[in-house]
Amino acid sequence: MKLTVNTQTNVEAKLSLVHQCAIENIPEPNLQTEFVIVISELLYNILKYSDGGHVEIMIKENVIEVYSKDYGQGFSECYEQAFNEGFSTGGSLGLGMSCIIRFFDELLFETSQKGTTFKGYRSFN
Amino acid sequence: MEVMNYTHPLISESTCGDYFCELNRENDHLIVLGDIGGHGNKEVYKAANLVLSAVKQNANSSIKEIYKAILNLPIIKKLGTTLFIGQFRKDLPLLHYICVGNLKLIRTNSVNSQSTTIEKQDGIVGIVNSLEPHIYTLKFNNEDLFWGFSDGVKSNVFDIISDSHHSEDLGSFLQSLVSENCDKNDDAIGMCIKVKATNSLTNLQPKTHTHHEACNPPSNKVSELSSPSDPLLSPSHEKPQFKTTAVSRLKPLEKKDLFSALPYSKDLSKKLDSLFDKLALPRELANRITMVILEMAQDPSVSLDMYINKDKIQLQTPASYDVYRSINPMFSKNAIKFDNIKNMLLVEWSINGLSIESIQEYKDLQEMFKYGLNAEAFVKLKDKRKQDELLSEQNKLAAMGEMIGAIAHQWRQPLNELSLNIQSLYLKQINNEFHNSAEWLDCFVNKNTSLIEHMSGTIDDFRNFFRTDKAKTLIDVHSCINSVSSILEAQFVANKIEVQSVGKTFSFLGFQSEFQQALINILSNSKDALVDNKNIKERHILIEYNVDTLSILDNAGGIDPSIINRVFDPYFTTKPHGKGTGIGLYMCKQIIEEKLGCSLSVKNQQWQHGTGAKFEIKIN
Repeated sequence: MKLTVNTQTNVEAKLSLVHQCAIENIPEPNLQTEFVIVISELLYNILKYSDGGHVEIMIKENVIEVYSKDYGQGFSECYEQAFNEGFSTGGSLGLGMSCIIRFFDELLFETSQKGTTFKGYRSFN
Repeated sequence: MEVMNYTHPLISESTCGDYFCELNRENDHLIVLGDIGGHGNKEVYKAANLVLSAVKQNANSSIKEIYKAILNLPIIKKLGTTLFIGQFRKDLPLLHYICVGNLKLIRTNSVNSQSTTIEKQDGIVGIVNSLEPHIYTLKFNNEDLFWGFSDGVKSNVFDIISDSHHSEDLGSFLQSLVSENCDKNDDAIGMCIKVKATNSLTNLQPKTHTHHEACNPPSNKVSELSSPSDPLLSPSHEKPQFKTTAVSRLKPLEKKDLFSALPYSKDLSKKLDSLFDKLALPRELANRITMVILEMAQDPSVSLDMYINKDKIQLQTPASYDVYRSINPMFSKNAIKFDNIKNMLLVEWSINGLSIESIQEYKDLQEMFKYGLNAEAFVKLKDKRKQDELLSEQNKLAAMGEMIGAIAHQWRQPLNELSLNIQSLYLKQINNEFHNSAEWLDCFVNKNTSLIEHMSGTIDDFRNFFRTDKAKTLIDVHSCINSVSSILEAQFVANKIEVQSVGKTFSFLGFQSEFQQALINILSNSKDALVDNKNIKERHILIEYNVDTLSILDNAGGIDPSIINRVFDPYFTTKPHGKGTGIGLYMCKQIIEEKLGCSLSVKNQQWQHGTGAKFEIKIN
């Protein structure tokens, strides 16, 4: 499943597709919710930091595989802070990035001035 | 972290262009590994040392700045280098790194023991394609191994690492790996890092190590190139990462604001979704709270409570300091607190403009959450409940009406007798027959007292019937039928119905008065059916009971098969308007199945006195 996003995209509509995909492929309802939240973070991140990009989702043999790419400026200048949202927001917490970190068993971000790519894997029973 | 490295120079250390260093910094471990272009001469050794000096001079900088400092060295622009700069964070299980050139980087995952090569960028620092480095961020697990080798080490090390179970002594393993697999024409260097993810956000469960260990990770081996006199390189520089929690202003919410406990269940996320929807929380906030709750609730041995008041949602859970440490980085300091006296963890979110206006609304929300209902389903539930209450009330009233009828029957005869007795007293006086009448008076008093006692007993029977039992008692079926029969006796006699009860008694736990109410309803129903059917000459009811079944059979002709499935529906009645409420049998079904956990069914049956309806109660 490939979701392309740009500034014109209705993210909520995309997310309902993701939700449908989760219901069809992930048996555990709580994991479905976590998955949809994580994908929504990825989509909103793309919109927040770039003009567009896409997220690809593959679920097979009990493995969730997510690949995302955007064409923004990357976050190489502030790569450490990018993962530190919790410290930077006042009063409330920033879980955007840390929920992504916690959700995936394995993940890799690659960022440069040409944009950012992300790969993540999560297995489930 | 356990950090080790081993160099196998082509000629000697002073002509080796491979280099390595580790800096144990306040927030991370910095690792640098590289290989200067060329080998076996003093110039590459000098270049390697200049790189290490540049690293030390920029010891507090980011990997990107260190990379730029190395890139700007004139000798690097001349010779070029392959380079890995990695930053293992202490607050999050993340490695940020830059890797350019043909170093071999391998990661052995401690969870599945699989080894994989790590992504890197092509080029040679200082010479080819090295202006803008890519920064990679990788998540690691506790005890993962990271291996790095210069190109003087043959590629087959990957296979060896993949197949090996890695002995306890990683240092010796690394040494033999490098020395036995090095290229005969090049310097060779290898490193191995065993990471400690002290803050694995992936696992919120308490870890087995003690508080002391958690705060003070084991000191690291310092590489040969590190200078112990340099405070930045000294392991003693290690500080506990978390400051005291005194800065947090969080206060635990009180019991009155306890919304619900949050045991882990499959539908927990759905319940939370409905709740936050009802509370009209912004989507983003709702998502975040959901994520935290789902993870915290996963350990069934730990209780997690959610408190809600007008402007806060707060989670309270007994937790160890380690759990607090592991989730602390996700929150700002005003959103989390660890109470080290009670070992209690608080996490809080401010919510603005929450419109819970009344206590009733709060209670409704709690109930809605408890049963996992969305707003629409909850409204339905409330309607249904109201309807049932109304029904129950109506049934009680109807039953009272029946009872008054029954009392009237029961009292008419003794009242009549009392009246006659009193008249006889009057007659006696008129006839002046009171001489030597002590014996007669005794007889008069006894007879009338017994009549009054009988009437009083009737009232007791009815009062017991209306009493609502609070606790289950052992119900004896035989005595229950006797008491019900005595209540209805007068009506049966008046309507010439012969009631016979046979069987062997048995007992079960339940609410006696409600069970009696159900029996009376069924028997009254049979009585009405018998009275209404004018074609029946002899009216019979047979009550049978045995082992676990009680049945009531009449000979009133049975129930029309087209409606037999509907007789237990509320408001369903075949009786003329004003006579039946249509709730008697519905209430029976409710009482027997919902309250007593038994089953009630009906069918038509042919027997010696004709055809009739047979109601059967089966005790489970």
